[in-house]
Parts: sequence; C-alpha cells; structure tokens
Amino acid sequence: MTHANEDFLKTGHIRGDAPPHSPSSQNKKISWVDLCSKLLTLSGTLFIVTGAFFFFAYNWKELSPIWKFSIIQSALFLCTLLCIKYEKSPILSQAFAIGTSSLIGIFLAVLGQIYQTGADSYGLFLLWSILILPFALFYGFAVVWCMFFILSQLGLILWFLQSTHISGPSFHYMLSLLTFYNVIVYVVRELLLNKHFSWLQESWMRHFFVIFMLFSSSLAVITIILEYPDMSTPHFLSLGIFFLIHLGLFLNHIHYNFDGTVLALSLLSVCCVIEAGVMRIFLIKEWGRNFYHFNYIYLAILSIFIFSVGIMLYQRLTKMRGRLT
Amino acid sequence: MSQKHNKKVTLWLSRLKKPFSQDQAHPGDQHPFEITNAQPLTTFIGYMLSLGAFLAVVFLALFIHQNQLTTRFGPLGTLALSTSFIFISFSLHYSTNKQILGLRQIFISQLSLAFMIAGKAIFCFVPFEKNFYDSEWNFVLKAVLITLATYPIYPSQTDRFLSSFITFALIFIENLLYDSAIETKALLVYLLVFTKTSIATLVFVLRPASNVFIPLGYAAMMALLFQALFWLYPGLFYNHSDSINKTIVSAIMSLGLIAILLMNVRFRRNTIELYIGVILSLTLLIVFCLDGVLGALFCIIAGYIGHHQYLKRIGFSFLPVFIIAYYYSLEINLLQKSILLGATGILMFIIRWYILMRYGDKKEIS
Repeated sequence: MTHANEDFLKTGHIRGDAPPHSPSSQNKKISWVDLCSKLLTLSGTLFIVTGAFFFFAYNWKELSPIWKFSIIQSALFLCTLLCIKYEKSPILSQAFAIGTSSLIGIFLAVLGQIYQTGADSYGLFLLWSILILPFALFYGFAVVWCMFFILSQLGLILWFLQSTHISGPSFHYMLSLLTFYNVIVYVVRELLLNKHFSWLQESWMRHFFVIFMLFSSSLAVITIILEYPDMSTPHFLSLGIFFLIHLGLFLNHIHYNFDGTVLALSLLSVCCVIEAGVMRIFLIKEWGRNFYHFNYIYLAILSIFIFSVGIMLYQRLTKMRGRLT
Repeated sequence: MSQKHNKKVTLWLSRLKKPFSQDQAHPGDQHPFEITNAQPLTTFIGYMLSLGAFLAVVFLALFIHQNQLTTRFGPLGTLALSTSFIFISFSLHYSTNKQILGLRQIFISQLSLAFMIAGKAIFCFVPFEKNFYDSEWNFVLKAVLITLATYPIYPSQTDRFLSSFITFALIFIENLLYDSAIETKALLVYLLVFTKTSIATLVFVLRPASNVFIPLGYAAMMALLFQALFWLYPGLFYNHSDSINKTIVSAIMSLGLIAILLMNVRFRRNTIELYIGVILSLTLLIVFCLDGVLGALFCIIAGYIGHHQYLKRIGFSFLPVFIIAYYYSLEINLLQKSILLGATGILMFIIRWYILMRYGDKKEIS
C-alpha cells in the first residue's frame, strides 16, 4: 500500500479491506507486443484515415454528386456491416459504430451542400442526432449515446442562437432549457441503471452527464451574480434549478448510489459559484471601494478558505461513507 | 509551559532537518501529474488545492501590481518581499501536522503554496540593474536559482513540477530571443535537449524510490514536447530555429529512448528482427527530424515501463498531433500525400500483423 493510502487508512478515509491499487500494477511485466500493437494500430489507423481525407480533399471538386453520395453511402454501409461482423470485439465494433454515426452527419452536410437546402445549422445537428438514435438504441454503446447527447445539445444551443437574441433573460432561458434537458438525461440514466442495460453501467457516463449538467447550471448562476440584473422569471428559474440539482445530487450520491467523483464535481461547482459571489462583492460593488487597496488580499485569503472548506466537506462526506469512489 | 514550547521547537527543527521524509507523507500535496495510478480522492484534493492556490496567487499579484509595490520598495525591498513570502511559505508548511487533513491544515497548505509561487515570481522580477549577472539572462538565472534552492526542501509536487517546467521553458525561449551568435544558440539548444533527455531518462528508467524527482522528470518530458510544439511554428518569435540542426536534436532524444530500451529489454536471438526494426525506425525518425514524434514515443515507452498513466496519456495524445503536423508541412500535392499516408498506414498494419503472428502467443518479451 502506498504512503498516501496509509495516511487515508489512518484517518479513516479508506477501509482496510479495500483492494490494493498500485502494487499490483507496479509488479506487472511490460508486454512489448501489446505496446507495439497499440502504437501500430493507432498510427496505422491515423495514417489511413488521414490519407483518405487528403485523397477526397484533392479530388472533391472534380467528383460529380453521384460519386460523392456513392462514396459516403458505401462507407456508411461498410461501417455498419463491419460493426455487426466484429460485434464480439468491443473496440472494433465501437470504432465502426462511431464511424457510422459520423458518416451520417457527413452525408447530411453533403446533401445540404449539393441541393442547397438552405436549412439552418441547428437543423443539421438535430436531424443528425435523431438519425443516430436508432443506432444508439441498436448497438447500445455508451460512446454513441454520448455522441447523440452532444449533438442534440449542440442543436438546441444553435436553435436558440439562431432563433432568438441571446442577451439578458433569453440567455438564462437557454441555460435553463439546457440544464433541464441534461437533468432529464441524467435522471433517465439513473432510473434505468438497474434494468440490465450493460452500457449504462459505465461510471464515466454518469460523470459525463453530470459535468454538462453542472456546467450549464453554474454558468447561469455565475452570470446572474456577475451581471447583477433586475431579477425576472428566468433568473429565479436558473437559481432554483441550481439549488435543486445540487440537493438532488448530494442526496442521491451520498445515501443511495455513493459516487465520490460526482460529489467532488458538485462541490467544485458550488465553490466556483461562491468564489464568483465573493469577487462580485469585493471588485464590482460600490461599497468595495472603501477598502480598495486591500481587496485583493481579502480575495486571496477568501479564495483559499472557500476551496479549503470544499476539500474538508468532501473529506467529511467520503469519511462518513468510509470509502473511496 | 517551557517544556511544551521546547517540544514544539524540537519537532519543528526535526521537520526542517528531514524535509525529504515528508515527500510521501502528505497526500494533499500530491499533484496528479506525479502519482502513478492516482486515487480519485487524492486527485481531487490536488486539483482543489492547486486551484485555490492559483486564484490566491493571481489576487496577490494583482495586489502587488495595483499598489506598485516593486517600484515603491526598489530592488532590495522587492528582494526582501520575495524572501519573506518564501519564508512565510516554509513556516506555514512545516508548522502544520500533515497527518491530519482538517480545515486548518488544508487552508495552511494552500496558503503556503500560494506564498511560495508568488514569492518565486516576485524574485524573478526583482529589478536588478547592475549586479554580478548583469545580462539578458537575468530573469532565467533567477528562475534557475530559486528553483534549485527550493526544489529539495519545499515538498509540494505541484510547485516542483511548475517551477521546473517554467524554468526549462524560459531557458529555451530566452535562448531563441537573446541576440547571440547562431553557433552559441544552437549549442545551447543541444545542451538543453541533452539535459532534459538525461533527466527524463534517469527519472523514468532508474526509478528512484522517493517520488521527489518525478515532477522533475515530468517537467523535462513536457519541456521536450513544448520545444517540439514550438518548432511547429518557427516564425513565432524569430526564425532562429532554422539555424538549429534538428537531426542532432532528434539524435540526442533517440539516445534517451535507446537507453530506456537497453535498460529494460533483454537481448535474445529469436527477437533480433525486433531490434533491427527499432534501430531502423529510430534512424528514420532522426533522418526526417521528427523530434516531436520521438518525444511522444519517449513519453509512451517511459509511461509503460514506469506505469505512469498520465505520461502514457500525454504521449498518446501528442503522437497524432506531431504526425499530422509533419505530413501537413510536407511540400507535395494532396494526391501524393494521400498515397504516401495510405501506404504508410498499410505498412504499419503489416508490421503489426507480423509482430502478433511471430510473438503474439509469447506475450512477454521482456
């Protein structure tokens, strides 16, 4: 056991029966075949993909529309076939599933370019995300689901940007909408967690959704704090969502599904919001000028204090559960 | 009362005498860069500590700038200010009990780190005009001096990594900016590459028991990658990099790789084609001056040998960047590029197939 772990054992942050972490990996022999295989696969794939990219870049203008569509559709068909063929190999099948999902987007972009559909870019992303949904359901890969999630979110952002003026309350409406969408995705995932969906079990997927959720909700609150606007419905909505999200995350991941990383992320988001509040008080507000020369010193001390409290709370929470993530 | 006081003083002195003993004892100080297979808890604390300290340093710097303290105090006053910051940092660090991570200890650790970074930065900006090293290297020399002085005695891995990396980067940039003879400039670059490669090789191949030198190894490795990235845009500062022979730079870096392989691979007759392959690949990388690719490979191989997850990830992330940059910079048309790339990719897969066919069942060559 490493020295750091020994300290945590003494202070009660980890259990004594926790599986050893580092020593097993330290004693492992290096498999040069594995290393060469990984390196050659990575560089070989990169070379071939880049080669294909340069080939199309060179000939793209000269190709007729029928050739362009044929090439993309053949690649799409080939990727789908290979994904089914290599179903038992997780890396290859996931790689081909990503290829299929990406080619759908390329196909849509080329379609828009050739026929000049005049559609807005949010339409492309929303349609792309809808079209990869069957693939996500069929393959059940976490990566494809995340791709769907990012594309749909991008579509929503672009829809807001292109259809409304992003300033003042509408910006907060957009962030509230995004946060609400992220919350739905997170809640659905948590509800389906014990329903025998193997691809849902991967913990990084939860962290991925939580990062998006916290980012949009924190950004809304930080902008409210720094801009200090006349409070209206979207502002109250953003504040309410922020409060409820954190309450929900703490309750769920302390009492039911303990997850230290989610707790850490929520604490980090709370710390950033408090830091923004402190900065607002000391640097922008009128009464801050009375002790202007020492504002930065107070801010430095308070920043350290805020993050120290965050760390201490995190330690208390993990100690309360007596285990690591 | 006096006995209690004496005990405290003895404890404090014993900590000062054994600074290295705390290197592995304080989990809060451990930055994820230096820990192999870091636990999530430690990683989070490391990040939060660094973030709090970073914000504090920014505010301290703004305070000094706003009140124009360096101008008001003059050179000696600024030197005294930086020394007092560093002294406060040491006092705070050695006055806390590292075994208990309570609010007080966490607060003091962050404050100590913030004072240390701010103190070092102020030291580098001390405006000496006439002194024993009155040259354009003033800034770099001060950075080297303060890093060397604090590295062994201030046991914060974040600080060690940042100071070392910034010092390496400063020497490299200052050398390109400084108006000296091209031969001197080139010689210094080779010397710097040799130093960084040697440090990285020693740290990651010899693997010393204490983790004191791991941040230095990471800093050297990152500085090699930074230098290779810098050369992707030779016109960024001055076009001095044309005068530096990159074949020599690549050759020096490949020496490090060879040292790593020699230390970790046992020679066997039945694996002779692997060694030929390695020598051939290295020769090609040197001939085509692919120092960035060599740096990324260095990271990957050292990461595999030392089980440094972060090093492996850095290497795997930078490898595609340097390969793409190389092919992008080639002065041939797109069709020729595509044929060349496709052929290289197919060759890679043939080699992979051959290796797996020949050695796949044995798995462990070393």
